[in-house]
Amino acid sequence: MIMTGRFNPTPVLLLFGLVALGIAGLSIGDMFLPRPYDGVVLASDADDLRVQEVIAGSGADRAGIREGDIIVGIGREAIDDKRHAARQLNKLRIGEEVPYLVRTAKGIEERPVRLDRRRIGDGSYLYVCGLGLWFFFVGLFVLVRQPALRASQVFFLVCGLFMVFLICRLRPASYAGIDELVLRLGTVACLFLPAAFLHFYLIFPRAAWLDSWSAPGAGGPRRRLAAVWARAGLPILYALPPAVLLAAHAADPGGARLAGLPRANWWLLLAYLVLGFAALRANARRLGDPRERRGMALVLIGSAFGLMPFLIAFVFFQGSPRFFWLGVLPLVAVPITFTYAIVRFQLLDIRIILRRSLLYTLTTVVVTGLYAFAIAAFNAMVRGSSLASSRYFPIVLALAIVLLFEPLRRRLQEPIDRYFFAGTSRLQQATVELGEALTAEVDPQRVVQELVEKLPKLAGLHFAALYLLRGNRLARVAGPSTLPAGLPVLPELQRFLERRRSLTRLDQLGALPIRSGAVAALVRDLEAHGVEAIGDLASSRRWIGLLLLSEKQGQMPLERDELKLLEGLLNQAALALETALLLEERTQQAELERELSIAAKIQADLLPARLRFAPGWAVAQLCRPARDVGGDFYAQLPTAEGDETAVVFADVSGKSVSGALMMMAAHEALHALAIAEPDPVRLFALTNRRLYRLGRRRFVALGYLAACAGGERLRYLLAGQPPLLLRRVDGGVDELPLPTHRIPLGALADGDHQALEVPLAPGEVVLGYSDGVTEACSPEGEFFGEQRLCRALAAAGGQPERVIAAVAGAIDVFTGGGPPYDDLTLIAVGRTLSES
Amino acid sequence: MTDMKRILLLGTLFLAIVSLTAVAGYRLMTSAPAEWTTASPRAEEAFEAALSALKKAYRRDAARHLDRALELDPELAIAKLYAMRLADSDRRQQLEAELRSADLGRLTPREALLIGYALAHRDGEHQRAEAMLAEYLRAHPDDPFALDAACNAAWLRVDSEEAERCYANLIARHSNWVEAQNRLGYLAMGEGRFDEAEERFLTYRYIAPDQANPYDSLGELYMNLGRYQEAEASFRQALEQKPDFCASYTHLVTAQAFDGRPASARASVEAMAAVEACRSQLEHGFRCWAETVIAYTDGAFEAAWQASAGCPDHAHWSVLPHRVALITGRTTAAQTLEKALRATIDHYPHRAPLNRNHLAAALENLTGSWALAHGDAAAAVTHFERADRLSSYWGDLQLTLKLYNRLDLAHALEAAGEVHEAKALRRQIEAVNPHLEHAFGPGIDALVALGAKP
Repeated sequence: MIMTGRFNPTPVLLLFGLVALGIAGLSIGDMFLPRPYDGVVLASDADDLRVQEVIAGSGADRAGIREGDIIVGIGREAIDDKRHAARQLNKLRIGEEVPYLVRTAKGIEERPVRLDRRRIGDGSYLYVCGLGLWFFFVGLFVLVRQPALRASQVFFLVCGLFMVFLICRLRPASYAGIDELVLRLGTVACLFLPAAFLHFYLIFPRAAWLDSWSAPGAGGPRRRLAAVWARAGLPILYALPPAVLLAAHAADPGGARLAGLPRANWWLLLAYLVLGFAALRANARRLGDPRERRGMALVLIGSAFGLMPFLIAFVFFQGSPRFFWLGVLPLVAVPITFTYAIVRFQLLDIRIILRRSLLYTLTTVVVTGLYAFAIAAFNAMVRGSSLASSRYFPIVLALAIVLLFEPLRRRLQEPIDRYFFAGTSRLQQATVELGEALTAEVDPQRVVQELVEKLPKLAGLHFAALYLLRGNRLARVAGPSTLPAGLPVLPELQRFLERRRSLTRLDQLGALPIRSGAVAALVRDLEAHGVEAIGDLASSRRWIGLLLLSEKQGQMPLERDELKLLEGLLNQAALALETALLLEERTQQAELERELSIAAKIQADLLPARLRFAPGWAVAQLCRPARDVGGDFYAQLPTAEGDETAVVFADVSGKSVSGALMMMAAHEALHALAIAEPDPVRLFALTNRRLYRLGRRRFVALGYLAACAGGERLRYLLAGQPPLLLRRVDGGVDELPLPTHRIPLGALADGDHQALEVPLAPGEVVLGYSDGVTEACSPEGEFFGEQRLCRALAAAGGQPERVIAAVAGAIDVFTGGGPPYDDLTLIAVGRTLSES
Repeated sequence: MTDMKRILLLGTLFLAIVSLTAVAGYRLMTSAPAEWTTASPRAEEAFEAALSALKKAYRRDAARHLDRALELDPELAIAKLYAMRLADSDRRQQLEAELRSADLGRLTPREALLIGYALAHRDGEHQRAEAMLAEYLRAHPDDPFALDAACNAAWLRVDSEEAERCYANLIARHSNWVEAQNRLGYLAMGEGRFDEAEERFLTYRYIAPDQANPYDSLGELYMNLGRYQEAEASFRQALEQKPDFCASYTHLVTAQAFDGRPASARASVEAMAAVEACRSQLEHGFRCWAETVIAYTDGAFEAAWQASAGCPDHAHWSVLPHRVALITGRTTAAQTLEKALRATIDHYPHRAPLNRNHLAAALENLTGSWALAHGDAAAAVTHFERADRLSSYWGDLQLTLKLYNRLDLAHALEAAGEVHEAKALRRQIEAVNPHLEHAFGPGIDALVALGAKP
């Protein structure tokens, strides 16, 4: 039953707890104040100073004061009540011998009593205090962990009242001034305790019986009863004990009281308790979760075996030692069973993560205590013997402690670890195994599968989902289909998650300044789908995606330690995914490289090993693709105008595969068209049109060189290629005139390329080249440039092969032998010297 | 700041404020105002010493302290009131005159009440006095002085029930008000509740072990019960505490006489005579009375008469002289004693019914004795029964008149032939004091024998 109303009683309850703790502290603290004390424990329910118990060895014991005696005078003052006695005792000193006037069975007598330092009643009161405080802190823990749960609120009320009752009402009443106050408060706590107990049992852990009785299918009387309970149950429940008290007081003002209450109230307490057990059983029967049912059965057994003996012993044996053994001692069953049920069965949806450090500390304290006890016992045993007076004795003892301490502590720690951290260890182990499985997996799909399928089982989640980055969206690659198929990439969220490098609960995002409208919308959407936590998957190289985790089964939040474990797993998953994706990419690249190698070979095969040119002419060429496949080529045209022999050299825009494909297209187009059209101008026009139709803004820079056999003139066309260079016989280099229209083929729909001619003397060489030559880069990033080209050309010999070799050598020297930035093509044509 | 922190802070603040308020309130409530109106601390000290002495029944000491207090502060009105109660006639008149002229308005309410109450009684305005007291007690129900005055008034008018209730209330409020313990002991003893009386006197002795009166009161009880040895020990303890506590000498002598130890009793008389403070009391009647009792309980009736013949005319002590007068055949003397007692009763103030009742009981005993001595046992029974109703187990007659009279009644019943009633009564008497017959039986037997003569 979760609180939905506007009034939240938790702060009031906490204030009540603070006051209750203060009262209990007052009662306990008062016991330790240094006051003169005679060793008499007074009967708390008697109006006079009737002795209930005399502490053995105390001043009163030595003076012969016995149980049942009545103290009527202390220190020469007639005493009429406990407060008066306390005032009188406070005037006296510890160690002082004080005359007491005592009414015994034989009559009134004077007894000298030596006052000792006030001591706490006995071990039984310490036990009761321990129980009370234990109760209280269990209740406080439950309230803090589940402040909105009505059952936990009432449980805290029960624990607080029970603590006050135990500590204040079972206090060995002495003469202390606060006796009356704390005893009265203990009575008030006792008055409302049964109602609080019944209230708690009725709604613990949920008011399942009420739901069942209120259901349409329930019988008429049950529904009516449920309606009455809903309307006035609680006021009646809490008002009845005071009403019974008032009625009993009115009927018999001087009647016997037990813990300040008439017997009618104790009967009511018994009735409430029996009803409470019935309600507990009714609730347990209606719970679906077997774990919860087991927990409630434990609580029922603990309550029955703890509270019933206490109740019976309180009524029949209160004031006698049998009360402690029969009534108070079994009471420990209640906090033990409640605590164990909460720890073991997670009642009230509370899960406790015990810190190892705490348990280690406790174990150390226990071992230290054991050693202290052992030393004290050993000292007591050897006291007076020669062993005790030996100077080696302390050394041997200290050595024994040093040697035995750690082994004993470890022996104690092991079973504790096994018992308390078995669940956590299992989760850790499973996390490690999953992490290993993930890192061993190279198939991304399998990684995703492992993560998304096994994680929910491991952490007890409803589901997990994985979104991987696909372009500018996050696509769901695994997880329930009810989740969105894609999520937007929100940079602010991404940055935030990257900074945190951890799993983040969605509710934590709400309080952050990064929460923009888009993030808020995303959070709302995810919350609506049952997502509780979100974590990013990222490697040092890149962001991979998001992992979404649902809330846990049983509506429990993810604990901090669980989040830590899952974060580790998340990092492993990110690494595994990154590795798998890289491997996949690498595989794809290898395949591509193989394909490129084949393509390069095909491309290389397309290029003739040697070009032919008209007789009386010599030709040499070089083509170096920048990658495996290139965009440059040269070719021998199948036909030419008249008896001309023609070669072309081309540079296709784009590199690698796309450039190669374009090169193939251009090569084939030129070949195909050249068969039918020997006129270079028309050939250029047709090829231009063909390439233009390919679209995609791909161009081909083309150079055309042709000459007649025995001719002296070289005809050339340039479409986008750099100007041709003429090396004269004397080593001078000139740039040949450029045609007015030299747009690369495929750039415009219509090309108007013109053919030009240049006379060549024997020994003169014309060099055509692609822009990859002048744009070849030195290691310093400097271009090779036209000037270096001209110088290299000038320095070369008058034959095309020597020109090509010289220029290529110069480029190699310039670039330092590094891979070319762009495809590089050189073609040199010249008249042979023999003819001249 | 989280909700939890805020609650803790507010809770602590709240507790601190409540604690401070409680402490301040407590200090305000417990700060006592000045009790007595005087500018002289030494006078106040002397007055407190006088009150302490009065509580111990040390009247002479009290008188001395009061004189000292008035010497230090002649305007200390309350001291004049107490001094007036202890002073002789002249001095009393002087002090009364001074009190009447005193400005009561400047005194504390308690002082004003006590003085006004005493003066009203002296003026005979008893109702006004009681009204003043009642009004004061409504405003100050806890004032022990006013409560004591109210209890004393009930005591004096022989309203035992009211007196017991009043003293119980006084003890409930001021458990160490020893006078109340003493009075409650006497009330219980007077009603025959001897165990309760013993507990009261033991409590009294426990509270004030340094005073003589608790031992004296306890000794009286033991004497009534025939536990003469314990009584003697208690009287001696009283005298240890206060060697000039003359009442204990008189009780010691009586106890020894009742125990049949005339020599010891006489020795005690001489010891009393050695005490300067007691000499006056001894010479003004007690020596004579002691000798009478010693001789009577010793069976020396003639000697008893001789001893009593020299006694001053003291009506209170006429029971034994009257008895020995009858036994020794001095009927005229007996008639004279009876007449004198009757006259005393006639003139005794009605405001003091306690002593008046005792005197009336004594008179009935005298009349019954006369009837018994003259053979009219039936009339004797009637008179003795009346005396029994009027008397209590404690009185001002220096002997336990009730028991003494009951013994007379038992003998009279036997003489009247009512043997069963007589036996039953004897058993009752023996249950209280098994030794009474031994001390007083011979005298009664002589009286019965006198009546049996033709």
